Amino acid sequence: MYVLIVGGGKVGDSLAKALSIGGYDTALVEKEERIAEKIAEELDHVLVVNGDGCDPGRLEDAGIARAQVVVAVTGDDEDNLIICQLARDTFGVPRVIARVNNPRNEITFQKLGIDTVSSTTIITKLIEEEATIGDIFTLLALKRGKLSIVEANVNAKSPVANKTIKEIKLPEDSILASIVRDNQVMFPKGDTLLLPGDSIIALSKIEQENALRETLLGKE
Amino acid sequence: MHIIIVGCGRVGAQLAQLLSSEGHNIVIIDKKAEAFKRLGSNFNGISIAGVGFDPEILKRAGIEHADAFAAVTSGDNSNIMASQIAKKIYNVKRVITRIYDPLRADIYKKFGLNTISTTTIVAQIFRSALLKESSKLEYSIGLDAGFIEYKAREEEAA
Repeated sequence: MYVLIVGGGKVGDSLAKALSIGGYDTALVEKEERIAEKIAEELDHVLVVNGDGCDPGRLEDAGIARAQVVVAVTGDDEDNLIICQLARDTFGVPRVIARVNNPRNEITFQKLGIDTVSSTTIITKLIEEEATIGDIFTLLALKRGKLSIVEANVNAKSPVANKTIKEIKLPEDSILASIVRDNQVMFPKGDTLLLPGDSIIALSKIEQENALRETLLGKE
Repeated sequence: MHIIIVGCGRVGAQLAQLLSSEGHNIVIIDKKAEAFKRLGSNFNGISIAGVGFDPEILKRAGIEHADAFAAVTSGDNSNIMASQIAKKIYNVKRVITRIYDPLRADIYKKFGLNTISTTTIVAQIFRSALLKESSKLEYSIGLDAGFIEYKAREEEAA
């Protein structure tokens, strides 16, 4: 898979490193020459292009024509929006993701159909969830915040402990995707027994998260 | 008409003064409050300091009932983002975007934004003036075609 990252700040740099170590073909576009050179020196297997990522010519230099994913992670939201729109609409890249620096801009990206990741929002959500939901964590919000992957830790007091999957009545629009037991991933079937200590990974619509929590972990 | 102008540089300020003096309701937005000094004392519209693509600021500017919207900041990407919010999210009827980079203007024209690439227009005016050519200049604002009439030189005495 070919991934093109625009923006060589801390996020872009770490992402490029992680992806190239993970075996992905990775390219990175960075505006500032000094930073671009530094990244090029550090990351052998990443194609680094020095230039403005909002310039279609630079994106072509970085191989956007064969990119399956474009990630725009500059510090300017307006740039990230334009990069993603260029990638999707002009170059036909199948998957584009934008970093949103100011959470107030998230709604704009969503309404214009661009998937976003906002570290501010994620941290805020994590803290909120720590505070209110307890044992259930939203791992990832997908499809512009409509779908989320959540993790719930089963304990002895959980209503689902020592029950089989088929005995559990899940709320609508949610499914149990897998169970992690002793660091082993299991795919649940109807007769799988849930045990205290299990970690359940479930998919649900955002609005069903609370109902799902109640089903799995009981009322607070 | 209720018109929102984003960017109070030389162009934005002049546009605001012009439209305001013709009796339109103008709200002008600029990220720097000191930019509003350019408007002079006769301007009787509203000025808001803030980012021109911030949904909260645009709501304060009355975007929900705006008739027209012009984005004339010095940043192409800011202009494009603000214009898309006006056009695609708030359905403002008339949205015009100033773009410096001609390449980007062409691309956004394809996306249905009405762009004016001042770089191209000024280059063409200079060219015609230098070559003493005709006084008609064709240009296009996005999907609509138009032209500017101007005089490149004084008529030579017969």
